[in-house]
Amino acid sequence: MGDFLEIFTGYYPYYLQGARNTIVIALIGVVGGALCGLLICLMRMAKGKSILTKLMNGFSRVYIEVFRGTPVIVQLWVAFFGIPLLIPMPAGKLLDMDLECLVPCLIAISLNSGAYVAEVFRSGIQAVDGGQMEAALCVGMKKGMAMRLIILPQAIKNVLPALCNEFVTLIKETAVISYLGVADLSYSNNVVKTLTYSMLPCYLVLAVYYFILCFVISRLVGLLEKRLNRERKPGNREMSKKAQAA
Amino acid sequence: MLIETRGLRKSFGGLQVLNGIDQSIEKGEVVVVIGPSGSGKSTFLRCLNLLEEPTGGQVIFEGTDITDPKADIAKIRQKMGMVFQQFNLFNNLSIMDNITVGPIRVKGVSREDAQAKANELLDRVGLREKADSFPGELSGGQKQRIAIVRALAMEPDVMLFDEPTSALDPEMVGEVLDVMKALAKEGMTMVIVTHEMGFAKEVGDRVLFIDQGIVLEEGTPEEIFNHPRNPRTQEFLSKVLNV
Repeated sequence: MGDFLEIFTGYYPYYLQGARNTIVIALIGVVGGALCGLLICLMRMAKGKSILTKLMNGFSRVYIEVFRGTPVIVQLWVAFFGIPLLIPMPAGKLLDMDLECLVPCLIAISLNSGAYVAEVFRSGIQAVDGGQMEAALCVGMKKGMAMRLIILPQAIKNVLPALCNEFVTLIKETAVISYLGVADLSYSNNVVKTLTYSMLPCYLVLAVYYFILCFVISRLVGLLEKRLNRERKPGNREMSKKAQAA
Repeated sequence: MLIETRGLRKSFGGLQVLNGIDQSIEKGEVVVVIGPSGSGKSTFLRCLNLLEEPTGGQVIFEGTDITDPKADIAKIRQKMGMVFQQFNLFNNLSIMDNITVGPIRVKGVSREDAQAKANELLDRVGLREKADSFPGELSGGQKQRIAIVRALAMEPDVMLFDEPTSALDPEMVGEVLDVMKALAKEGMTMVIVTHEMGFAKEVGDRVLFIDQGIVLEEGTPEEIFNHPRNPRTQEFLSKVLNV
C-alpha cells in the first residue's frame, strides 16, 4: 500500500502525460472511426441493382466481418508494418509521440472502430421514421440530398450517446498500442515500472487512472443523453426561452 | 389532362393491391377517393408520384410517362405536392426551414424569396408566429397545416392528400379541412384520399369509390352519395354514413 501511494503521488506527471496522450489518441480514433463507420454504413445500406452498389454492399460486409473477426493487436501490427510500405510516414512528433509509430496505429484504430460504428450508424438511420425520407422525396429531393439534409442529422442525434461510449471503449482498447511504442497511458506505466521495479502497485495506479477517465466520461455521456431526451420532448424550447427571459 | 393512369397495377409480394386503374384527372379538378381500408386507395395515390412503384401500367403526368425508368422522377415530384396522414414534417428543421428547404435546395430559389413566400403562406394558414418553432412543439392540426404549406411552397401543379385528417384529434380536423377547402376554391388540382364524407361531398368534383384494387363506381358527389348504384358502394356508404 505504501508503494501504491508513493507511486501515485511521486510519479503522477508521467501518468498525467500518458493520460493526456490516451485521450488524444482515443479522440482521433473515435472521429476517424465515425467517418469510416459512416462511409461503410452508407455502402452497406446502398440499394439498387447496379454493379457498383453490389460491390459496395459486398465490400462493406467483408470489411465488417474481417475487422470484427481478428484481434486488434494483430490489426495494429499489420498496420504498423504494412502501412509504411504503402504510404511514406511523416517524421516528427505529435505531443511527445513519434508520428512514425502513431500514424499507422491511428489508422488501424479508426478502421477497426469504423467496423463497429458502421452498425451503430445503421441502427441510427433505421430508427429515423420512414416518412421523413418519403416527405423529402416529395419536395423533389434526390435520395443523396435527403440523406444529407434530413436523415443523417436525425440519425447522428440518435447515435451520439453510442459514439461517446465508443470513445470510452477506445480509451480502454488503445492500451495495447503501448506494445508498439506509442507513448500512451500504459506506456507511461511501463516507464514508471522500470524506474521503480514495483509491478503490482504500478498496475493498480494504472487501473485507477483508466477507471477515472472512463468513469468521468461515462457520466458526462449520461448527462448528454438526458439532455438530448429532454430536448426531444415538445414544448421544452419554449420553456427554456421563458427561463432565459426571466 | 394533368394525370392519367393506364391499367395501373401494383402488387406487394403475392398480394395484388391495384388491379388495373384507368383514370384521368383534369387540371383544376378535385377528385376524392373513398373506399374501405385495404381497398388500395392510398396505394393508388402513392403510385401517382411513384412513392410506390407500379408493377404494371403507366402513370402519365403532364404528358410524360413517369413510370419510364428514364423519367427524372425527382424533377416531376417538384410539381406534385404530397400531404401525409402522419404529417412527416422534418423533425430536425424549424418550421421556416421545413417550408423553405425544398424551394432553396431543390429549385434554387434565393433564401429571401423563399422566406417571403413562406411567410405569405404561413399567414394564409394563420401560423406565422410558429416560423421559428420545431415540429415537436406543434399540435397535430398545426403540423398538418404546415405540411400543406410545405407542399405549396414548391408551387405544385397538383396536391395529393393521403388521409390528411385521419391522425388528428376530432377538434383539429376542421382547421385542416378549412385550408383544403380554400385551396380547392382557388382552383388547385387535388386528389384526396379521405374518410371525411361530409368534406368529400362539399368540395369534390368527382368521387372515386375504390374496392379490391379497382374503381367500382365513380361520379359526382351527388351521384355517389345520394344515388349509389353499385351494391358494394351502397353497403360501404351505409356503414360510414350511419354512425
